[in-house]
Amino acid sequence: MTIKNILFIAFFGALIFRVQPINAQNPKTGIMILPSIIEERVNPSQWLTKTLTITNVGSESLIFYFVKRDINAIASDGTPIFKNREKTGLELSSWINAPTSQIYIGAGQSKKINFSIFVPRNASPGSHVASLLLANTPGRPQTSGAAVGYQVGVIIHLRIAGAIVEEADVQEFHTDHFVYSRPRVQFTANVANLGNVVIHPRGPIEITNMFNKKTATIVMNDSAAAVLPKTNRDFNIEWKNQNLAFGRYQAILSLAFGEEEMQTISRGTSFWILPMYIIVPTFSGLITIIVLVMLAIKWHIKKKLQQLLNSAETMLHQSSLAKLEQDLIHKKQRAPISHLAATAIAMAIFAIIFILIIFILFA
Amino acid sequence: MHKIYAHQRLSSSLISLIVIASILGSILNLSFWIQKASAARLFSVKDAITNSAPAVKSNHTIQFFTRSAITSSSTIVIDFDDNFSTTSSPAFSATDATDYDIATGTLATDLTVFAAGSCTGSGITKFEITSISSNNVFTFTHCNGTDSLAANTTTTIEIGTNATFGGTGNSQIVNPLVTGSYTVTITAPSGDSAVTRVAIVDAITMTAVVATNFTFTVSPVDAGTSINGETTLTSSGATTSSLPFGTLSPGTPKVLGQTLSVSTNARNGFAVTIVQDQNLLSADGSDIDLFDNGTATSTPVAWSSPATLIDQEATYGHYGITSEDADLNGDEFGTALYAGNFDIPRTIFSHTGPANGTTPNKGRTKIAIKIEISALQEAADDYTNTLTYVATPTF
Repeated sequence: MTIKNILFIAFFGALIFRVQPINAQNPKTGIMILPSIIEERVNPSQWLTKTLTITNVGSESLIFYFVKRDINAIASDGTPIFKNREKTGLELSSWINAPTSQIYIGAGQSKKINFSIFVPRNASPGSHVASLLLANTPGRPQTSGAAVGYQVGVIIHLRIAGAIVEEADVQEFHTDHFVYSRPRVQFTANVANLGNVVIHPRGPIEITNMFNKKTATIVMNDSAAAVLPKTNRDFNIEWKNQNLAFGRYQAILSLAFGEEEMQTISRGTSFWILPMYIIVPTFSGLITIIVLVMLAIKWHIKKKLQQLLNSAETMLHQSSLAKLEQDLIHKKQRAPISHLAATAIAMAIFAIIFILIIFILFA
Repeated sequence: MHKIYAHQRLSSSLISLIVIASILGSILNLSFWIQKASAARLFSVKDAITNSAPAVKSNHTIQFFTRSAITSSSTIVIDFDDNFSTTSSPAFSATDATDYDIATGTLATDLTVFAAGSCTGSGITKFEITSISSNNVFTFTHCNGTDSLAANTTTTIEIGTNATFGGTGNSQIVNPLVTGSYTVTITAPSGDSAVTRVAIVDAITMTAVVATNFTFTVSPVDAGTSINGETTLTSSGATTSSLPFGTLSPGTPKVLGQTLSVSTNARNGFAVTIVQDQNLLSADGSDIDLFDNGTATSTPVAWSSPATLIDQEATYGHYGITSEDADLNGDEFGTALYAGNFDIPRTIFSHTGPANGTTPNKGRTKIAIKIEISALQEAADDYTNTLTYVATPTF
């Protein structure tokens, strides 16, 4: 056999048997799902058929199976909280008909999987939310260690026609501190969904200063994240201001929600910004100026008095001079700091201490 | 002499007065104390609109609950913020009553609304649209009929094309041009009032129009890699589907890690949680507990060795988790901080917007499991459990 023949056979052999490069350098496992959020308006007794495209993006073939779970609520970070056992009236998972057998998908391959949902005739109106998860569970390791599996979920939200109630309330709206040294404020709002449909509350926080002038407007929940029926959810947003800020501020939160009609729910809060890096030096400077001015005036008067004394020496009688000198000395001794000046200094010191205490306790 | 002292006192007094006034003015902040007294006896006040986008036309449905009866000749005044516009063609007019419907909870049908000066008939309660001022004040007057609108009822007023009783309206109020919240003041009857707000926000694209895709992958971290500032480098052996700790030596912690990545166009981002099905459990019933000494610490803290207390098996060994996701709950895992509360689903990776699968903290992160035993840990070579990641788009 010539070298040419050997190369020819090897080439066609590779084509026929498709030698796969071993991706030992970057092993990975995972899947892509499309769509991953399904939202529909449906009627009782309606059938709904959907198709999922599932792609194995890993380096090895995988076996998956479907898991159906109802979603109770959504945490403030967006994590769905799955229902355990108690019934809440949101049991969408039992309406979903998905393949019960395992699904094999080769590395890099895609499959279209159909599933259906039948909405019962007596399904309660409003929102029903569940997740259809594709689960991959590996076997236990042979030695001590953890097996690692994963579930990738499709969020399904059905809104069933009927007596729809859209109602919500801002239960709490507050800042993380009461006093700030810089305009960097974290706002938190707790929204309660009192209705029977998912809502996406979203709206402005308007911040006004102590002169009632609007300082800033920021949007809470700009991405319109959801609040499930009969649940609460926290939303957070931070306000940062590069400009100098001082004094008492008010913030009014107004959230709009609803699909047929947009309702607004509002709540207000207030906070203080006391830039200590400005206040302390300013008050200290004020006190220093008062003291310096008083000392300067005293020195000036003392100097004038001395001049008077010197010039009076040659003009007045010794006894009169002694009497005058005594009088002047007496007046000098009786000229202490004025009451008003003492009050001002005391108030300035008190103000600094007061602000420091407020800052330590509430900042 | 006296002039000199007088001058001294005057100067220091002036300065002192200025200082005192400044302190009082800034601390007291007079506007804070000025409260407007109001006799609001309207409750459950709201104004629902059909479109909250800026500068668009919208219908308004105003509801309020009053403790006082609305008697003959009483008025209901609705004052919209000046930033609303009522003059867009066709403009509102007191001569066209079809743009308004008034209903009360005690009556089966809406009340008849007449144009200004056109109120006729008797017996049945009637209202007229008395005036619409240039600064968006709508005044309705109970103009005829002996019946009052009873106290303790909800009154609903529709303004716009949603007013369909006795004719469909053709005028609508135009929303303010700028995003924000705007007041609507309702006074009915005279002296009873309340202020509600209407939020004007830009419209957003609904995800129902664009299909949401979601990709989640797991890959092992190579040996010798530091995860989240951990000084103990990762050991070898991690795979895409297992974290094999192998043989453990007392006092020598082991760290194994995986890289998680998510790419999605979900508007609100994603969340990945981890949960175990049980403690690391041997066939003979011995187990290794969660960090820290079996307490399943929820707030990440610095790693500490097992306490090794006699007859307290939870202190013989433990394992915990850390994550490099610096956006997670204000970077709760900091540098080499560990938590142990993944006996229930615990978020370890999340982002609040679309992700590309590669950007640290937003599409990609590394997590590590650290384990350490003491000399009292029961001997066994089959401590196993299953960890499950649950990855979903955020709704």
